Amino acid sequence: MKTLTMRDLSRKTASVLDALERGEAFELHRNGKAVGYLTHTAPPPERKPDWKAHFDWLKRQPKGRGKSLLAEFEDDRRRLRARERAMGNLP
Amino acid sequence: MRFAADSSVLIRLYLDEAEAEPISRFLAEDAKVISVSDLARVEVLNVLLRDPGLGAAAKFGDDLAEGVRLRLESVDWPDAFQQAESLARRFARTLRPGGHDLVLVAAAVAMGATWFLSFDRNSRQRPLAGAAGLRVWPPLDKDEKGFVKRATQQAAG
Repeated sequence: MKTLTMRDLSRKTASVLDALERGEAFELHRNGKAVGYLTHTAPPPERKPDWKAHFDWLKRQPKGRGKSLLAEFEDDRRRLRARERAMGNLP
Repeated sequence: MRFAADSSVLIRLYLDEAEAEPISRFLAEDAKVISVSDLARVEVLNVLLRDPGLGAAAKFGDDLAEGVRLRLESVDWPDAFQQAESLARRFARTLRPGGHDLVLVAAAVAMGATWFLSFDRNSRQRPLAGAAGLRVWPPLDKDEKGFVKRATQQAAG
């Protein structure tokens, strides 16, 4: 991929646009650092999180084992709280 | 809007369908993306890896790698610890938060969160997040709101 400075872009705008139409792509640099890309193709649409699919997955999981791990997590947190209380926090 | 989650919320996304119901409704509305710090990532992994056969740890890793439902945010940890100190200076006397609460909330602030999601009502992380200016979900109860009010009033005075 060719690199393109801000100066190149402002001086050669028409030829850059011609190249984009031909399918070329450019990495755009400012102060020596890449700041973005110019391409002929649109970026892929941003995917939205599909929470329904996630919770459908969760429904298929074995119930007891999950509850047991959750209880362990709560125990971990209780131990943490006990330590904090011993230090004078969390009245 | 950026939603930072404590591990008490993240864990429930992978372990317990019954307790996940209110989270499910909240997240599905507006297709929210959860921001995860490395601290929360390790806390959750530490629990899920205790039963690798369950597949929850692998699913959590996949979700982070995909970055669609969960987004691992890079936290500037020196900045986060400065935030934690600032929170301690403002709220240590009134809220008496634990060190873990301070770091969790400070990490959320440092990664630009506007919301803090937590089910942990035994600590002071929820009122601390409220006092730090974050919106809290599930909403703060009456006692927690009282803590926030007193803490912010005293910090201002």
